[in-house]
Amino acid sequence: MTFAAALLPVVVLTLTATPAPTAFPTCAPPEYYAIELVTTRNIPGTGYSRGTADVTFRPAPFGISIAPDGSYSYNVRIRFDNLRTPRTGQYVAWLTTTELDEVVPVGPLDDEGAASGPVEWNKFIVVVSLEDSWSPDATRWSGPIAFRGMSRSGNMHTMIGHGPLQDEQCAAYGYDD
Amino acid sequence: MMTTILAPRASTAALAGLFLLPATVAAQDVPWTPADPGSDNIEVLGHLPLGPRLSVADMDVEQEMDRPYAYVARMVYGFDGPKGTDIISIADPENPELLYEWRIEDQDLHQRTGGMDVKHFKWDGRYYLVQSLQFGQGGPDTDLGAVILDVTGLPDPSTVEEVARIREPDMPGGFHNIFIYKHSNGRVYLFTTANAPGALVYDLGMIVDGNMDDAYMGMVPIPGEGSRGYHDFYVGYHPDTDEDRFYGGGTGGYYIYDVSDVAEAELRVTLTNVSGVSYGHTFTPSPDGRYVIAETEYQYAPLRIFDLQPALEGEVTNIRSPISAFTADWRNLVHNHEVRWPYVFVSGYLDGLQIFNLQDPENPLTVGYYDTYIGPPNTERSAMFNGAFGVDVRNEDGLIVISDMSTGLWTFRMDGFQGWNGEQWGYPNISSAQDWDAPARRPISEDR
Repeated sequence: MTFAAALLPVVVLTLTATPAPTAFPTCAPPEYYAIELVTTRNIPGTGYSRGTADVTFRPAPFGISIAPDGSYSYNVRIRFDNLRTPRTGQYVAWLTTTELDEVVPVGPLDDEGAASGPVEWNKFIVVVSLEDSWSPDATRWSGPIAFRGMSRSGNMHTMIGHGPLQDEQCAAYGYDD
Repeated sequence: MMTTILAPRASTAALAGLFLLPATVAAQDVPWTPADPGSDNIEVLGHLPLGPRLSVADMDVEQEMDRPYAYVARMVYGFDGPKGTDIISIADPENPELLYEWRIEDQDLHQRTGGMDVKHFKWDGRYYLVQSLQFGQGGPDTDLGAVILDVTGLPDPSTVEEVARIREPDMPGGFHNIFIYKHSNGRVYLFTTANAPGALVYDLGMIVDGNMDDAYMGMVPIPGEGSRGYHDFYVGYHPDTDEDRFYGGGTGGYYIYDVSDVAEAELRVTLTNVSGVSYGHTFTPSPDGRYVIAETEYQYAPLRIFDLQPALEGEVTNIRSPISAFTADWRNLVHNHEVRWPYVFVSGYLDGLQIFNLQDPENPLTVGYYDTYIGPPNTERSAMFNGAFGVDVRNEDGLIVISDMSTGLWTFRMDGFQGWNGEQWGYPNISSAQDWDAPARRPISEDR
């Protein structure tokens, strides 16, 4: 390995450690990178809303951005169609690990029903909750969950977890319509 | 007009013939209809709808009359519903009342079905329920098998308290069926399915006393390599051998173990190479352990009745031929069952509550029915898995309770069935109902 090659990860890590850009690519990602956001029907008026969380690689001079721990670094762009303004409060988007042990606030949905933020997990869940108000200091949702979505990589798991009554696809239970 | 019922006398030969007859049999119908869902001897006492279709799983009823509570597991087998347990008062069986709902936190983010089976037990003067849980990968708590709630203070819902969770990180996917048994040694054990080549056994007394680390007692194995394990089971005392016996259905068929020492289960009888059985499901013996009722989980499968006598007498170790069979509507599938000999109470999925008499084990006789599910087979899920899921019987007064996947909780009485005590029928008073206050039949060392 040459010295330059050995130095390359350091350079990449340094470059990607900068704050997330505020403007994300507007072109739609491939289907595999589109997370369907499913209503929980907990909030009146959300029954016919349809949402998507598009996942794109964060821009980097070398094509791929990675986090300091080696994970890919993504941008998540959340958008909704037919999303009614709630009678009270506001919708806030969050990203969380599959075990819910880490939560990253994305922020409130704007007037167009959109929000964006970075994520550095392989498997994660998108949560949109209805909050009384939004504070940048919030660490976890406190209101009811209105929409949820699972990253496509969440569908991949070992067959160890397959048992009785599991002849259908696991993800069909309560996530996909 | 009442049409001919197909199933009342379904001997093995008749059943075999049934499968061979094509269109003529297919044209036959069953006597229950949407307008006339029950037999004349079945009285509907109460009905409590519980929410979305395909959101109700198994259930359990406390046996003591001064504790009139039914526990109902809640799952998402369809598209909506809660994940947890409903606690329902049946103090007035004609007006079941929802007292308390336990739900997994962040249930909207938990994958797969959620609650599946639920059972109760009594330990050291307090009452508890165990709710089995199944959560899939891609969401939280894939290692969570069961939650234990202290329900001693019912009917006051504010007294219900979660006291423990059983986790198995090496066996993700949770627990499916569970059975709780008051062992001859006086301990109370939880037998549970898991993604394991056997049934896991936990000492529930230890768990609620705070000793989770030592509560795992061992595993009742299932013969054969690469096994998917068990699906369901029953554990009961076997007077003729003075053994505690485990009856499990799973990979390859059905197995009976001596679990007098739960850490050293010994195989006694197998039921394998049974025609049409590759994976056993619910498996329940008669009170004396001679006959067994065996279910398989596929369309057209009847309940098979086997006579274990040749194996009990040591002539053979494997039984493979049933002596008779029962089904409600041959086009469907019957599910769980509770034996109160000679009656067998069945939660018959699309055909609701079914009751048959096994006084002549070679000739099962339908004695009552009530279709709790008036609807079509599923189109988005496995076609047969809808309707009556769980059944239980209160021995003291003969109350019959059904949990229906889509229509909720039902309470019934059957004419002439005002309670059950096996001795009144010439059998040991043994059923799934446990006598929590009975003294230990045999001593136990201090460390177990």
